[in-house]
Amino acid sequence: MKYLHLSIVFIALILMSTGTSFAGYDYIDINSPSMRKIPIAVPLFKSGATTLNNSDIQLPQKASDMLSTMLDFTGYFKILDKRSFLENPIKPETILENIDFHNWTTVGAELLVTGIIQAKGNNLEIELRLFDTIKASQLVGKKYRAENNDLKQIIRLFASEIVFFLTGNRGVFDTRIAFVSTGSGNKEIYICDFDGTDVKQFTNNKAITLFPAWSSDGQWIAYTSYLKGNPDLYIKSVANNSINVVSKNGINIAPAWMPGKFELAATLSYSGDQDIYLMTGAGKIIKRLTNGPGSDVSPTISPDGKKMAFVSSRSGTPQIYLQDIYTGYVQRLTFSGKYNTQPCWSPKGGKIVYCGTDEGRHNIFIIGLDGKDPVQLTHNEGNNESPSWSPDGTLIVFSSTREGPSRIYVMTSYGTDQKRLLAISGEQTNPKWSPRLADK
Amino acid sequence: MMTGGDKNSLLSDINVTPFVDVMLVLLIIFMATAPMMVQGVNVNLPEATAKPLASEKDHLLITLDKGGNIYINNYKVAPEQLKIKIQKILEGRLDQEVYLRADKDISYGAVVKLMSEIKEAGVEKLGMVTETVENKK
Amino acid sequence: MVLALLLVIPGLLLFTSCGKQTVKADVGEVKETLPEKEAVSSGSGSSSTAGAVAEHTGPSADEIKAEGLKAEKMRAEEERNAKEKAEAMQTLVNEDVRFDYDSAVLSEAAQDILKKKAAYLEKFSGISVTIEGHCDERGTNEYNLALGERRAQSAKNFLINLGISSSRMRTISYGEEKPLDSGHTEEAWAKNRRAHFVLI
Repeated sequence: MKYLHLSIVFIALILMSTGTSFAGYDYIDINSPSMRKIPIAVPLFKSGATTLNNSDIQLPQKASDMLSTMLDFTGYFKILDKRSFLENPIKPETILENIDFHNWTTVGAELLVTGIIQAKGNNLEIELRLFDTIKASQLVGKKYRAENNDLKQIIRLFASEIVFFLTGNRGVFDTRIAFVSTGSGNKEIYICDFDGTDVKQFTNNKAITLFPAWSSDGQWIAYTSYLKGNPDLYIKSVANNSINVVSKNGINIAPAWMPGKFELAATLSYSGDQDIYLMTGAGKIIKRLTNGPGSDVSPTISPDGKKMAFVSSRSGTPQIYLQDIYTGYVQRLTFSGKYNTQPCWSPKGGKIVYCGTDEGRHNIFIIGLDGKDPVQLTHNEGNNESPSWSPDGTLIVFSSTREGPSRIYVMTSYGTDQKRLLAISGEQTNPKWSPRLADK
Repeated sequence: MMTGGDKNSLLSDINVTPFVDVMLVLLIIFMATAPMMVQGVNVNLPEATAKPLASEKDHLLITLDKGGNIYINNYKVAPEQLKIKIQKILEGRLDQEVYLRADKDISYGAVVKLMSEIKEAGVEKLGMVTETVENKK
Repeated sequence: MVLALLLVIPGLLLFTSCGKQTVKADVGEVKETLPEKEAVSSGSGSSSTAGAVAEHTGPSADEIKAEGLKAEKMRAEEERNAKEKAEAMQTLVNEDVRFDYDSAVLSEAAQDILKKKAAYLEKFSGISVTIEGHCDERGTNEYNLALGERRAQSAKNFLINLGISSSRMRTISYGEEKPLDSGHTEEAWAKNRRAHFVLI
């Protein structure tokens, strides 16, 4: 995996002026639906070079733009327009003693990020700081050294530090999204970074390929493909070419992984009935999980690995059910509407996001485990399908036809800040958010 | 204003009153005192006896100094950049108030021109900064 | 030959800077295609001459007449059979079994079509089919893939009940992945909710 080969030399925690005991979690309460966006100023970074050539001017610009975009993606911040800043962009002040905080509060900033960046041969040296402009204090300060082409990684690390300081969780900067695209003429699986950049084709089956699912360690992606004519299940390593195949008679579809295990659930129909089975990552069946009449599809496992939500047509129409994996106890979760499918269990455990269909229109809903009062997140904007949570539970990725062809969009778990993730050729469907990949 | 009649009046008869009138209608002007404006560029301020308003901490202060230079806080702005700068700052701020202080020696015309530009930038409330007479004593 | 020359000239232009060997190789490739062409043309020529030879051989004129009549009869019958078979295939393949929204239940019309197919399958026992289950775009991928299989399966089960051996039929579901009509109208959706027969 990409992250394994990173050669960032992390130098030191520098200048934690407020002390390590200072917890900043009260800055952003991510559990509040009425969360106010914090105005943050990310002025042009300063070049550490003494004599400036072209690349020394472009590099700080590139780095500060990159950080702005990443912070904006979280939905936590209001990124202030650089044109409002009361500071000479050529000579930005970057350290506590020199910053005129009043000029930053005047333009509405409550947080300020400054940076000094310098290319030294093949290496980059970057100092990044986060300030509270109202208290005029430094919140986070880091110095990084890495190879030239790892700039994005460094910016990502610091964005992660900022979000961690302010919210208490690491954010989504070290995650990726797998999805299906028809760009090559066939449906194939692609992978991009959390922000839609760095798109790579993952399968090249030249056959219909669907339903990617990340293992909880991010090392494997399971999917369904018609590679050999039949909808079979493939379990493929992300890093190398290892691949396991489940190719039983009938359908082998819509896999979901057990958290923390090399085990997955999927629908197989070789018995004559479409039921969900638990199997090993090598494709060996451990046990049959459902045994009801009609179709049982689209399993999603609770974060504690004890429960499963799935779609069943046992009552006539497709509805979402909850089942205890060990006792087999089943209860119906959705009652409103005639077509509720594609459940995805939240990483925090308490909610399920799904696709509800009314009069042929698909929309994204969230429902608690008590099944009461589903909340609709998308409204009157094409068909919205395949919701998948970010690993920190703050964002939801989904596909939508709101602009005509099906594309991938991201929104907060409250349905706010809906925006398109990427613009590539073909139609994109079935997005699945990866777990955090940085520690791997 | 009286209308309908004197077609023979000369151009030089044009009164600035209507212009100021319009501006006053669209712009709420209030008075603020200098001691609250601790930062920024030094200028000599006109005196006034109107009661000062209590101003907030992060006011947006525009200064016109004796030399005709324009500052936002202590940041010098080129005249042609002023409007866009104010617009962008207001986008980031909760309030839409601006405080203006002009050197007492600066011409009335220059101040009016600056006020109209501030108005064009979308400012709804303009505070005119003066030094209270008591303060001066 | 003109084509060969046309190929060689740009080849020469391109490879003049790359030394003689490449040029030679290039020319060689072009030459190689020529005998191939000849072979093809001579092949088609020989088949026509073979036909002519067959017509000229044979004994007396009467015998020829009788044989000819018999052959004609047989040919006519074969043709009729072939035509019937072709029609059967056409009906098998062209006429889809349609379904209601979110349903794998066979309507009366669907059952009539399947009965016709059963008759043909009974008559031509050498034929095997793949029954594809399809859905319209309105559902979601995963569930539709399951629904498509149930549609194919209900068509297959109906035929089994009419006495067709299950070994002659296999099923596959394409869900909503292969619509017949890519439109977004009720009419297009109706066409897409189908069990489609393909000859193996």
